[in-house]
Amino acid sequence: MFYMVVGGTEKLLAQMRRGAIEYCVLSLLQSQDHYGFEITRELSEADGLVTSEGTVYPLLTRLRNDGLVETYWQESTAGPPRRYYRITTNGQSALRSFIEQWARFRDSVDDILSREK
Amino acid sequence: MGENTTSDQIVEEYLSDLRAALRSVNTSSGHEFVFEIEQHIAEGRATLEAGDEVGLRNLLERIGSPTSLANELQETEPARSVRAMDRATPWLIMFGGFAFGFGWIVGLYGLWSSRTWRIWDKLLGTFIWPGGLLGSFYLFVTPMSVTACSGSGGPGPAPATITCVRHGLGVLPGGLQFLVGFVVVAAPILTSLRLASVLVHGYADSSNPLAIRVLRTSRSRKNVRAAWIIAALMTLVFFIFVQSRH
Repeated sequence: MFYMVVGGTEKLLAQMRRGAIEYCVLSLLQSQDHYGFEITRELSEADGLVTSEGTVYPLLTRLRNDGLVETYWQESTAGPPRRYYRITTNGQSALRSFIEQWARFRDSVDDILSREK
Repeated sequence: MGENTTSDQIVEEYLSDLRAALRSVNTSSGHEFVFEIEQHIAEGRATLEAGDEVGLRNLLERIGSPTSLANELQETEPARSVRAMDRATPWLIMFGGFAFGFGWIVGLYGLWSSRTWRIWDKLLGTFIWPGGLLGSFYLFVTPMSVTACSGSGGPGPAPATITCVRHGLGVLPGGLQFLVGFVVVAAPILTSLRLASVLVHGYADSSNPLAIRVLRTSRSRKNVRAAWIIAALMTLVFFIFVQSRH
């Protein structure tokens, strides 16, 4: 029973992490288009955010499928062409609404968690 | 040069582990994912010194282990919309004919009205063959039991001679009969198996609509083996049935 509960928490955290990282990616793309490798590196600079860099790619694909980003190829001097990601207008509005809700959510959770000290 | 080969080997080993891990999970975007990881590795290696094995291993570790990546891919795949009826359709196609032919027609409706299968598989399910196993039974049994008898010889004391000629499969020698019969029985079973496999695994690659990983998972291999055995047994049953009628 305890094991099941722990497993449930891990899954929940994993899902929350995926959701939050999606918006982090959108935020990165707001200022500038990036290619996949760049995005993974920027994300891994934030402590504990990304467990393994490979998992960023399915996430990027999801963002593309949901219409929040679009991709294009660009020649690169360093080797084969790179796939660049660009945020769409839908992505912009999704990000805006997330930022609003996230601040409230984060503050509320922190508030409750710190009450019983 | 020697160091490059070792690095290449390390990368190749990682990628083949990744492909193997992806084959054993239920995902249809494996191909593209491997391609993106390959590109990621290439980008990463460009920042390393040639022959920096430790750096390469660190890079691969940061990407993540093949098993955890495959699991992540499987968990984050959007659920494909599969109708409740779709699960029954391959069975209806295969066996439905025996329900007075009506079951097969229902299966056919389920096949064509569904979004789970693409046009090629819909055609496959329809034409190989019509009636499913009932069609096989019909093809198998009827020609073999057709014997055309013609008589010659007229009225009077001379005895009439009657010649009977066997048509259809009966013309073939026994062993060949069995082989052809086996194909006739195996075909709809394999068709239904393919339909079921597409149902479960989806299409692997949107650029190649015919490709599905039907034989890659161990469960699929067991299913195909079982299908061959069932086909052989059924052929035997039909064969004995027909022989016993002579």
